[in-house]
Order: sequence, then C-alpha cells, then structure tokens
Amino acid sequence: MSQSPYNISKLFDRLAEQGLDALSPDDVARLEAAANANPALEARLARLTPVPEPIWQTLPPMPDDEQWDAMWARVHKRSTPQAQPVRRRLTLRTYLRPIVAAAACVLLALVWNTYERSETSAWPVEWAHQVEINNLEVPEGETAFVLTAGEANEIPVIWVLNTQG
Amino acid sequence: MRLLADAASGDGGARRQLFEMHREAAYKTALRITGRNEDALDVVQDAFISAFDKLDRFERESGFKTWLLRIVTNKALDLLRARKVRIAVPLETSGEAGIDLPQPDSAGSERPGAALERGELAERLRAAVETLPPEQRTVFSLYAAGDLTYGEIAEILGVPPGTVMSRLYHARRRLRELLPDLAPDGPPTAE
Repeated sequence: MSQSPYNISKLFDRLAEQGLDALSPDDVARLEAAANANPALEARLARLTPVPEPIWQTLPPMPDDEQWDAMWARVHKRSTPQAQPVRRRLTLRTYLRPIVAAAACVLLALVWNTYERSETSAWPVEWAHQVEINNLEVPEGETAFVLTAGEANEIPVIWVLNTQG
Repeated sequence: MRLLADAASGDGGARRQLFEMHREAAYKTALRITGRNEDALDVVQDAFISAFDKLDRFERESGFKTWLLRIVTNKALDLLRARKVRIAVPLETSGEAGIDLPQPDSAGSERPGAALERGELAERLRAAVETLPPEQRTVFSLYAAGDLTYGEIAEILGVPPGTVMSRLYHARRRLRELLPDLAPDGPPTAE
C-alpha cells in the first residue's frame, strides 16, 4: 500500500472537497499518520473545518432568555472581584496563631527528644534524623515553611498555610 | 482584545458580552458530552465562573472560545466521572443486545428527517451519542457545536488534528450504524 506524498495529497484534497464521507477507514488511518509525521500537512489539516451536517446538530431546545438571565446573574455574582474574599495583607498577626501552634509543636519535639525512653516503650515511632527536604510543592494560594527542632536542628516540621484569607 | 482586557479587569458589561457570545456553543458542547440538560447548565455556569476567575491569567495564545470550550469539556468529563456513567456500551448492531434506541414510526413514506418531531429526533441522537467511547464523544460534541476547525478541536482536547479527524470519522460512522434512517446519505460504505 503506497504512501507516496502524491497519494496523501490526493487524500487530503478529497477530505477538503468532499468531507470525511469520501474516505475509507484505511484512508483516514493513512492521512492521520501522515499528518502526525508532517507538520506542514498537520497545519493544513488544522485549518480545515469539518463539514457540518444539520442532522448531527439536532438538539433539544436551547435555554430560554429567562434561564440565561438567571445563569448570568449567578455567574456575575460568583465571579465579580467584589465577590472574592478580601486578601489580607500578610502581617505577623496573620501568622500569630499558626506560629504559636508551631512553637508548641517544636516544644513537644524538644521535650520528646530529651525524654529518656525505656527500652520497653510501646511507642514504636522515633523521630527521623538527617532529613533533607529537597522540594516542597503546594497548591496555589497556599504557602509552606519548615521549622526545625532538635539540638542540631535535625527534626523538620512542615507547615502549610492557606494565605487567601 | 479590548473586550477581553475589560472583562479581565472585572468589567461586568464586557463579561456579559462574552457570556452572550459563547453561551450557546458552551451549552451545546456540554449537553452532547453529559447528555442531560440540567448537567449541561451546571457545567456551563461553572465553566464561565472559572473562566472569569482565571481571565487575568489567560495567555491569549488561543481564542477565548477555544479556551472556554476546553474548560467546558473538562468540567463535563469530570461530571461524568463523578456520576460514574458507563459511557462505552458495546453494541453489535442496532436492534441487537445493547442499548434500545427509540425507533421512528414505520408508517409513512416521508423522509425521516421531515417526519420526526425535533424532540424525538434529539432524544434518539442523544441516546446514540451516549454509546460512543469518551474520546469519540468529546470530539463529536465539539464538532456538533459548530464552526470549529480540526485545529481548534485539537487544541481544546490536547491531541493532534489527525487524531481529531480519525475520532470524528469513527464517531460519525458509529452513529450512522446506530441511526441508519437519519444518516444524510445512508449507512457508510467501506472502500
């Protein structure tokens, strides 16, 4: 089965002039492969508009004006700048509560680190040491920071805060 | 461009204009993918809210319509996944095991497209489209919304134009097999 440029060009012309109905499944597969391998052909294909057929565009009635107006009212209300939470300027007061919580956590870590655990302790968990955090990704609108504890700052505590109000 | 800039800055009039320009294409696309009027309305509403919220980050490398329809398509597909709708239904041939599609009245010699009520016709088409695999369904939905090139549909879906062409070909072929009386030129013939 020849895939010469001439044949592909004829297939493309047939598609452009007569639409998809003029092609067989094999024609479509060949044309697809050729377009994926040839940027120029792909660009030509990209500019084509598939022939619309009214039968395939049959739909139930569209929403009426009242429905559209109601939808617009909801869209407008939920997307206007005034509808967004006010972004607070980040100050020490913004972080006060999480800082206090973080400090309490660090204090707990220090106490734990100096507490003499017996060999028969039922608590199987130990603090991880020599931890290195190479990357920390958080969603947009949130910020992360790491506090360390321990005598040699070897115990990391990760905090993630929502900064959008 | 001015309209987009005004809308991005929060101009309600500009946003309303964008809404009115693109709401029908958005609705048609959402309806084809979700198959339900109520879901389509929810998708369109959420898509416009999302689009306006992100408009200041819209890079304008593509048109607003293309960008909006990408949002619509993704939200419609998310809704389908959430509903856990079984989209792909193996169907041997029309009339055999599988989906029972509403059939037209057999009486009368008028052309089917003229004889059927619009609502019944739309329902038959909707039921048939729901049997398409997701990738064919989304391509067909965007094609049926009208006026999009292969390249625009490709950009919306993030696939090559050749893939769009192939999926649309097979989607239309499948629909003609399911709805032979509605196909413009009868069932497709393989060469």
